[in-house]
Amino acid sequence: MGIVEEFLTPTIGGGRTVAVLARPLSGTASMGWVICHSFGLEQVFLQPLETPFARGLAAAGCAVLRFHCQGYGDAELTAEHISMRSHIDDSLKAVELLTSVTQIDHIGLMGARFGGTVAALVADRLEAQAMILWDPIVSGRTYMRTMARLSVMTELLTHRRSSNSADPLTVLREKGALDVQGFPLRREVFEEISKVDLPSDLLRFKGDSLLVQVSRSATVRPGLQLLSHRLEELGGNARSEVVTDRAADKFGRPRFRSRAAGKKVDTQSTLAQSLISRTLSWERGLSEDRTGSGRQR
Amino acid sequence: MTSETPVFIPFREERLAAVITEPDSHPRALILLLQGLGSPRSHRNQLWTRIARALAAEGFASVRLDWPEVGDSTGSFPAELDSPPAEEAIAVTQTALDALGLDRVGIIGNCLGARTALVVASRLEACTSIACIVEGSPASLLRGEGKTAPHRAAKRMAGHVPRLAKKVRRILRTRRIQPRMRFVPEVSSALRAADLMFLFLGSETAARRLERSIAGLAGTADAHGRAEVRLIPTGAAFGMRLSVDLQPTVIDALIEWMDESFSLAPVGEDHAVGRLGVDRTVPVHAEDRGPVAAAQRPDVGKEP
Repeated sequence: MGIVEEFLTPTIGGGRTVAVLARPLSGTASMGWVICHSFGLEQVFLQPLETPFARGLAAAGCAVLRFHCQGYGDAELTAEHISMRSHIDDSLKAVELLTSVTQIDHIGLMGARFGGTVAALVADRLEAQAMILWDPIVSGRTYMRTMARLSVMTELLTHRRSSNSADPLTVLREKGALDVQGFPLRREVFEEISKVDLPSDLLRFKGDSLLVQVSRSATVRPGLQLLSHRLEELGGNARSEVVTDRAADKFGRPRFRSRAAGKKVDTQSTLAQSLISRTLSWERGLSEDRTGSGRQR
Repeated sequence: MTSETPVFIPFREERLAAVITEPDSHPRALILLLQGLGSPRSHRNQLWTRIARALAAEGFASVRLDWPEVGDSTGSFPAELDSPPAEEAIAVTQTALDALGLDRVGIIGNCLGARTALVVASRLEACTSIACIVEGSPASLLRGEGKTAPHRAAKRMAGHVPRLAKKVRRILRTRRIQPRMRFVPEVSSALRAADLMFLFLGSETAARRLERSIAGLAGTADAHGRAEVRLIPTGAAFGMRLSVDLQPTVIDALIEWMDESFSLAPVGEDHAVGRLGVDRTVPVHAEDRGPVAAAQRPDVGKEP
């Protein structure tokens, strides 16, 4: 692919963690990207899309840093340390790390689902040059309700019963945490993320942005439209795209399904290819703009 | 203090991403952690990361790796249980053994990782202990995933006549016509070389059935390893998304097995089936010790 990857072990968010820096094998990278991963188990399920995308960006001449926030993957601290704030603070530190290692001052943020939300908030705070959001969470409240529903399923499947006939929000108040597929979702984090309203939370971003909706239907959702309008309102250049795929509802969920005779099938390979190739194509345009070879917006 | 080192290990034309965890003293052995397909080297909810650190606290080094196409490794492999990526696992293990100056290996795995563990154990002389996490059903360790030709034919027929489906399913579940568990050949091969523990997450009935079946294999003349089934009673763990309260129990059970396996003292009666100091872990045959207990052998005098 003409890229080189190296492990870094920075201290971010009060503990050691592991990051991978991907760069073009030859020449100097023109732009740096930081990939902000998603929340809870979505971090695990979306990583197989983020890694080839990072390599694609590096092959296109960018330096790309992907890393584990505290509480995820190989990070020193465990899930009790995860919060909305920790995601944002750790991502800000990751940008600092990328800048110090590569000396690049053109920075973009990328993320999928909740990672997209974090990427947007960090890009806004830093007034970064660009951002790529794959199916971002626009309303934290809706996202947390989905998590609460998943916690009911966890309870039913694990204990073959519901611990409380009341709704999960009551359980959250009483116990202080929900078990979402083995991920401890604490009440403070639930409340913190529920307050997120991405369009109104963005205050100053003026860069280029690609908003990708992943869905079965080609109709752009109202939340994404609002986000796009807000970005234009702030003076940025937002482009919205819809990637339609039959497996769109599995985005952020496990990719592999068992088939007969011990075979496992990757249900999202077409979706992943489409998402990555369209995003890389947008980034190529951005790169041409940067180098002055011109692209009509 | 425990140290963790991420490394890229060359494998043919590709690179495998791995993390080696070391305790603060010379390690007792190396434990290889192998997850199922679709999970990264840290596993879901950092399960492997936490086990690696708990192992280090007990004096074990460990290595966890990303399968090709998952996490930070490159390359690809057929996503089939019958073609587990054993060569990749062996390459990573050998590198870690050389780097740490060790010659003893234990393996912990689930799903595809468990299948890989069995193959690695039969090929890697240094491997003397395996712990397979089995969630609800040992299908991934059975020939044809436990489905026999009559099962498949009955299901096909029921598929054509939907009203029959419910009845057929009920009949197929009855004890009377439950087929004998036919393990994949790798289970026997592994038992020739290593001790094997199935950490069963599910019902006691299913665990007992698994225990009866594995006892048959462990009792054969060429099986030198002891075989055990240890039970953690639970509902579904659905793809290793273990509930928050179950995770420490699973970690403790695996650490305890490895601690016993690599204990300097000979394993005696105290190490019989299900002797776990974990509240929620119950022995399958707590009272009569059962056939698996009878099949276990002392650690000393193991044939190569």
